[in-house]
Amino acid sequence: MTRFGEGAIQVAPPVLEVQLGDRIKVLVGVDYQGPATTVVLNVTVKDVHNIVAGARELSRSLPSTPILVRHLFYVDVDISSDALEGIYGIYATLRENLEIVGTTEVANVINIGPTAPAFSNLTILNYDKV
Amino acid sequence: MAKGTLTLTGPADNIAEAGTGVTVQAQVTNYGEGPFPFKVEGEIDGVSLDFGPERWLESGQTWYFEAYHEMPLNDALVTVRSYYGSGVGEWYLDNTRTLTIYLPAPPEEGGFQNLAILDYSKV
Repeated sequence: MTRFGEGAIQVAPPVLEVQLGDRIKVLVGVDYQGPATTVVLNVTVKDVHNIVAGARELSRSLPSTPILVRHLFYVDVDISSDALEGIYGIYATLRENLEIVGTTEVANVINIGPTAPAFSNLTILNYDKV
Repeated sequence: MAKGTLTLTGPADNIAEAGTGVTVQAQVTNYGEGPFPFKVEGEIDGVSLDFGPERWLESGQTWYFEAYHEMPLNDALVTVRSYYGSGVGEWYLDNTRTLTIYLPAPPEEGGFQNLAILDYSKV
């Protein structure tokens, strides 16, 4: 898994090569302190022109805590088979009661290429004397 | 005849973090005749508190009985009772006080920090 989170040396995040129809897994973290609440996390793969190649949204309940507690969310995003080839970024938005409480992004880290040619089912189907 | 007053105090604002030590203080003043023995008993969340031995108080004298206990994981009800004695073994209930010590409430407004995309990979 590509790892470039907290504590890492600040370098350009690596580009992930994917194809149309692939699925990517994104790990998002956030610290929370406060009463019990429910948040909605949206993760979208889109390009600089806001052309969306895939998105996923999930809801999570956070327990009441008087101190900051780290929460991790794994989000699977399907790259649409109809997406355009090109360079995309990952954008995460966190909402509480419909209000945006945080956004983050890593731009230009997903390179969507064409589906590679594939051969399968090579089989000798028949044979005969000619 | 002995007669006392009882004042019960807990931590500041009656708030304590779970697992921290809290001191409960029972102030007893003998405003009757004296000297007579006084003692204090009590519980926090049903667990006995140790306020120490009896004290002989002159008329008008005040004594501070103190007990120390660990704050439980929930709001805690403290009950204390003061007794005065005959001096020959009999004890008579004088006053009763109760106090609730609260855990600190979490902040009403939640706070989010350090939202970050940590990893990504192809499944």
